[in-house]
Amino acid sequence: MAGAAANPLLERFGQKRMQQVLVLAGLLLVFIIIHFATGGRFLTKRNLGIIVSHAVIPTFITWGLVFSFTSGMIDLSIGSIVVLASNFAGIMGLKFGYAGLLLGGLAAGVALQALNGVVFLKTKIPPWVAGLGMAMIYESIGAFYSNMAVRRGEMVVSLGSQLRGLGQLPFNVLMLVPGLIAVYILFCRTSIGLNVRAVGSDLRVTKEMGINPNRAKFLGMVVCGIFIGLGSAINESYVGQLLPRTGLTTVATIFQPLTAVLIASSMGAIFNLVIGVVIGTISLSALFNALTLLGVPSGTWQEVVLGILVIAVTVVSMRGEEGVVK
Amino acid sequence: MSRENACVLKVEGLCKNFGPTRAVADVSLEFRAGEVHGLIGENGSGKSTLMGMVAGIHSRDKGRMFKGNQLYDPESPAHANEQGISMVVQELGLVDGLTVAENIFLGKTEQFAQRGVINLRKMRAAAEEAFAAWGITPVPLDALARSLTVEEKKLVELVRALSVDPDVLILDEITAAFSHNNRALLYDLLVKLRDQGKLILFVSHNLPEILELCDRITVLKDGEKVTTIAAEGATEDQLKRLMVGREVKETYFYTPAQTTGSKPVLTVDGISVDGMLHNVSFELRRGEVLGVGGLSDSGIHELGRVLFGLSKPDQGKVILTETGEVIDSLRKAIDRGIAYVPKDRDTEALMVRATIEDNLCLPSTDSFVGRLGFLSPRKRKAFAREQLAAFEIKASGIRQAVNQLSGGNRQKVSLASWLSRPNRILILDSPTRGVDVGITANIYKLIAEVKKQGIGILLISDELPELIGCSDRILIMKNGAVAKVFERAEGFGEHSIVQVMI
Repeated sequence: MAGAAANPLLERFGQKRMQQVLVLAGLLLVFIIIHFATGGRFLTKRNLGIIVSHAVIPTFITWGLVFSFTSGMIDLSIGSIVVLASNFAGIMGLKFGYAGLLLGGLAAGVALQALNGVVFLKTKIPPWVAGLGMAMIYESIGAFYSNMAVRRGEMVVSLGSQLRGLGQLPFNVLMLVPGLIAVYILFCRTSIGLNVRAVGSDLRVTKEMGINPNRAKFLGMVVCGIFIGLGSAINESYVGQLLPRTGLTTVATIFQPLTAVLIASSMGAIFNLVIGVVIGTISLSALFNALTLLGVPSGTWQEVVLGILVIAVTVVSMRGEEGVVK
Repeated sequence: MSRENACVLKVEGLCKNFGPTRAVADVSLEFRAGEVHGLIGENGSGKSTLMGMVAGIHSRDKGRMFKGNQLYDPESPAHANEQGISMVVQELGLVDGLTVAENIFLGKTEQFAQRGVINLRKMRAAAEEAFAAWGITPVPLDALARSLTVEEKKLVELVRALSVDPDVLILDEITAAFSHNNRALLYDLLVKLRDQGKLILFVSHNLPEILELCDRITVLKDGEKVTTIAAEGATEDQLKRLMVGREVKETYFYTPAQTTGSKPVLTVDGISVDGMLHNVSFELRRGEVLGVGGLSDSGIHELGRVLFGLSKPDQGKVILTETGEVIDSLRKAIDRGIAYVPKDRDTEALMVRATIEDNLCLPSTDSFVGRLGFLSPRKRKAFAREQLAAFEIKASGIRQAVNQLSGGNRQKVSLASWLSRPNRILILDSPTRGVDVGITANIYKLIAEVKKQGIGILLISDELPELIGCSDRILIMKNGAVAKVFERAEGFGEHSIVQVMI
């Protein structure tokens, strides 16, 4: 083997920083083009605040997804967990203030994800099937709660004007900082993250290294619950009141975070996955913002764009896989 | 090199079955400290399973093991590591999605953790130190395992096995992945370890290597121990006879090429791939075996991928000489009768979770279409059964999954799937890697037969004797470029070829 300097892999590492700069510069260039296309309304201080603000909740949910999806636990019940955890966070918040809001969301997120982990691992059926079943159950629990509240002549928990700061600028954006630090440490610097990545990449080898794959997957689900819970608490603070939904409509909630995971994965060779998630969610938020500014109707054409983006990003990320397989 | 040191590892009456397949049957052995103990046998003879039980990968159905005087009962490879036993498995044993440093210490990261947070810098430094301490060719520590070559992956696995400072190191077919330079490094390392009083259990099909390195050799056949003999005084023919149960005299089946007056069948015109190949040009003639050899960074394996359309060259062309058509895609290569048997059988050549039938039939799917345009299950089954018998693949039947086969039998499936279809050009990358001596001889015979049909064969190999034994010409590559082409008429001198390689 040739010396280190001549090794193409080592040279590639030298290029990584340059690639990062190029991606960010490319993104900036796209933003500038959008800025002019929208008549100078895109890169304003207020609009940038809106873009980042709208990216906060999806970022926390996507960070959670990173832990479950990486270990192969495709959980479609996450949207329904967000609804339940948001409502529980609201109930606890009204009793105990911001501490209750955060801890309530956290507790519900962790508990429900842990329950999912037990169900997925004990039943051994494909996680996406089990996830759909759990989504139906969680949606129904939400509906029972909603109906009970109505029978009592009450409303589904509503924060009114209380506890709304966490979901607004600048506090919601500030939450990204400890969130990023925590997710980076957990995913990249602890055995939980390492084992989750190992299990998702090669189960046989991971087992041979003495790692218990079920334990690794379960812990991944629990950590996923932490971020889902925090995202739910911020969500409750942002919306004030979140009405439970049925008919598996919560499943759709997952698509935007899923797109962000795909974007992050497609940039995996350039950026750390957890940073890729932030770039992905902000890019998506910026995209929807730009489309709105351009007058593209939401609910139809914006979703068409998201669909095309999901396919395009998957194509890009799978191209890398294809090279590996061949 | 006979030594009479203390028994460090003993296995008694070990048995292991995989469903109806008897893998290891009542094997008892004693291994000494400070010896390199070779394990040989045909594919499916139980070598890897036996070693897997010692390394804690497989549980055993019966029998006992002792390490020193203590009963040894590993629950997992990690547990075996704690007891001072580590193994480099025959299959690729890295997690593709983790970096080199993470792979080396996966499952042992606590040593770098403080309050649960792993110190990546310390882990990386320890990995770097491990490569340096054992004099192993460095591999980029931050690279994901999926970006490494097979050889680099094996180097990482070796470092991982050594990182636990084992008393017993098991190496299963590791040299099959290594080129000349890294083999030399490994041989030196094994001598060093033996001198330190370690036991090395060395599984290989390369008999000259076994005779050169080992103190004692155990022969297995059909899961049973045949014998254990001292390497000193043993001969290759004796080992072959013990392994196969009959005389295996012929090894290479060289027949002169029928190339007089024939046009080249493939023209490689100045191909370059960034950092791997540099302006490579040559012609492959009808009915010849063109051997391709070189050290690990020479680009020989990348060359096969480019010719088959798996990698796109940055410059240059691969031309089907007879028609002038440029081969620029995998589909075109297959449609025009180019076959490729890659080196990395598990990830590149085979669908390991699919059945033998599916694997054998896939490249020849068009030939199984019935009258109404549907695939004929009858034709597929007949074809698969025919190939199973022709290549002597040891399996319970064509419906058995490939990942349940031994390494050598997987290689036979890989070869059979391509060699059984009409080809114009055959690219074989390390075709005898992990294949036993009997089947190796069959493969060489097959190469000679294919050559007689006028098919041009590019034989890429890390085995110099194989290149010398089978080729009409040998193209030696160095640093991604063609260094020299040796003609058989001029005589192939091993020494002169190695001189060009290095």
